[in-house]
Amino acid sequence: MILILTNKACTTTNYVIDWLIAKNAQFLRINSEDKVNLVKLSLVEVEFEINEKRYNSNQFKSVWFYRGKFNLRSNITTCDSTFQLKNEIINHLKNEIALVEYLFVNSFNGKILGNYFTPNSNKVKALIAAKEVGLKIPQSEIITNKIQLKEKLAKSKIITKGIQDSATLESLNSSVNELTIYNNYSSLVIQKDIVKIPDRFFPTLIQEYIDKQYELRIFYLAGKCYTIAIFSQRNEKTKIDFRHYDNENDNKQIPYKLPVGVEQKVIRLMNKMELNSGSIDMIVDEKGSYVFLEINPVGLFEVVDYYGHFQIYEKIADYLI
Amino acid sequence: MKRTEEYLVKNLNGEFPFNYLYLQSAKINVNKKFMMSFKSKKHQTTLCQVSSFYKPISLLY
Repeated sequence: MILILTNKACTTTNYVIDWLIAKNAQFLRINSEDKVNLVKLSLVEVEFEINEKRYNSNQFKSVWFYRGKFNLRSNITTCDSTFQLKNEIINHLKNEIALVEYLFVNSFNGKILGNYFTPNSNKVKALIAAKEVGLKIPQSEIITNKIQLKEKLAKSKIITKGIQDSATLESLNSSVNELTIYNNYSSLVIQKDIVKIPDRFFPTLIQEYIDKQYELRIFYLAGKCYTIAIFSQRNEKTKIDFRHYDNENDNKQIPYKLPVGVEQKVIRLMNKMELNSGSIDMIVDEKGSYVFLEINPVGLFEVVDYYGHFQIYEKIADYLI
Repeated sequence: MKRTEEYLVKNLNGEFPFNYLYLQSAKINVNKKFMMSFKSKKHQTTLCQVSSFYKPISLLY
């Protein structure tokens, strides 16, 4: 049987499941929202229950970790809030359950796709690794004050983005069932904004802005790269970050074949990051150089599949079967 | 919503990364969001049985 760990809203998983069903493969989908009851946990196997059905970690020949976490927490938040040791107990139990989670994840002996413990991108770690495998990267720095920012801005155009991921902050207005989502994707720092920025600030990642011919979105799966080129540079709205979608004037996106040398470096990079799947962003600058930007270990690949006609959903299903 | 935006601006006093200045907002109707994300019961937690008549949706692309 195949185990898929994801979340209830993940439609990407649905398309892979379509293929598993078509290919007569048995699977169990666990969502982050599902309560996992541990029955027995030894150092080599785990027994657990989901929806009153019992499973053993050894019965899964392959596992796909994609945008999900095992929900192992016992209900520790209901204890009396006046109890003096409440916070100390909660913190202690969080650490305890983290080790249980580690043992649980490592009890799966079959083929593993995805990395449970690195669901978020670590841009700095990826940049260092990319440089080590010989990929070109933009000048990058984490700064903490306005003087540094002014110095950088005087030398070149710069962009800023999250160190790990872009912030996604949600605010629900339940009276009208309206959710406001705040995002800070990659943004160009403009001189006139300097006055709005405090003298000292939380460590913030800045990078040199590179004019590009086009950008590349690569989905990496077990040693192979599936790539599309996105012509985002021609559109003012998308030239800094194509996720500032222009719905009225879509970017042109086409399948793309990476040069063998670049592809080999990407494979070495993913091996170094201990990832067997993930989405990689690169650009081709005006001189034709390939510049690595970042990796998202659980990046979406619908767009890559749609424009590239790669049948990625089926390939993931085949990998798991 | 306005209160949240004010909060973000007021607190731009060094406690946040300066790129919070560039936060962009989008409003989503929650009911529609869940309608979009929920596809069908067969994809949710279950030990699925096989249907030989089933056509993968991906083939329709």
